[in-house]
Amino acid sequence: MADIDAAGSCHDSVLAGRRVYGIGVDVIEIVRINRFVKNHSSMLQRVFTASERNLISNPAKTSAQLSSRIFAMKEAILKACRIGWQEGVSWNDVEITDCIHCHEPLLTGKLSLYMKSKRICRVLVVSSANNLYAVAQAIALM
Amino acid sequence: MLTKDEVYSKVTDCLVEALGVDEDEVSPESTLTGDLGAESIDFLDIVFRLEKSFSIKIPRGGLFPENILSNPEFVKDGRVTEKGLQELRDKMPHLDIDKFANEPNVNNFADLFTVDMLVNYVSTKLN
Repeated sequence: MADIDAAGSCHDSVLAGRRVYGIGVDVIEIVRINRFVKNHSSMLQRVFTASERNLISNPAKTSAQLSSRIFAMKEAILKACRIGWQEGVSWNDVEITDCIHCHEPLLTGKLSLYMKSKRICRVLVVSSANNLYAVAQAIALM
Repeated sequence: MLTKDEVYSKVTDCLVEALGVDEDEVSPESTLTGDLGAESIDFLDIVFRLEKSFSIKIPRGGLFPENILSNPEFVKDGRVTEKGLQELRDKMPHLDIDKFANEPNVNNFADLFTVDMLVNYVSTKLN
């Protein structure tokens, strides 16, 4: 994307001529997500897409951090889009495609339809983490 | 058919496992966030455990309304509006809205999510 550089920083052109529909932030304890992933391994497909699960299944030490970042980003995006009681929106309607840099996630299904109805044309999200917590912030633009 | 006591017992087991609390910390009036320390991921954990334990399917947002406090249509000046209260009554019949409606301050909203609420929801699902 021209307005997000290689380091993941967003430039002013992202906001040019656009209105902010909503912002969302989420913070999560990594130990909780780790426990959740271990306890519900057979149900993870309801929360994480296939490509996200592929990232999480990496046995590397960072996989707990990655799953936490992904979960926090999904939560932040739904908050930025102000999804309330729109039935049928699934966790998998959001696919995080980059765990490190600011990026536009893949938004599909009923979430995509909802966004069109609210004239939301772009959503950007970024996350960070340390050994204890993952945090994410999202912005939805009209 | 499970009795309400049996449902309560199984719900308690789910909460003990999901939240790492002691069984004697759980009572029908316990609030999930205030008393038992639940956070967002824990709600999903609880939903998955209830589904497994009772062989039921709980749709997203079916048990816990999501992000209501960010919807300006349903919240004004820190209080849930009449429209918001009606929406809650329509979509979330397992919540005790009448009591909350006496003082619909958003700060009191989390108090709606009690162990008893879970028992009522599951009992309704099973019936």
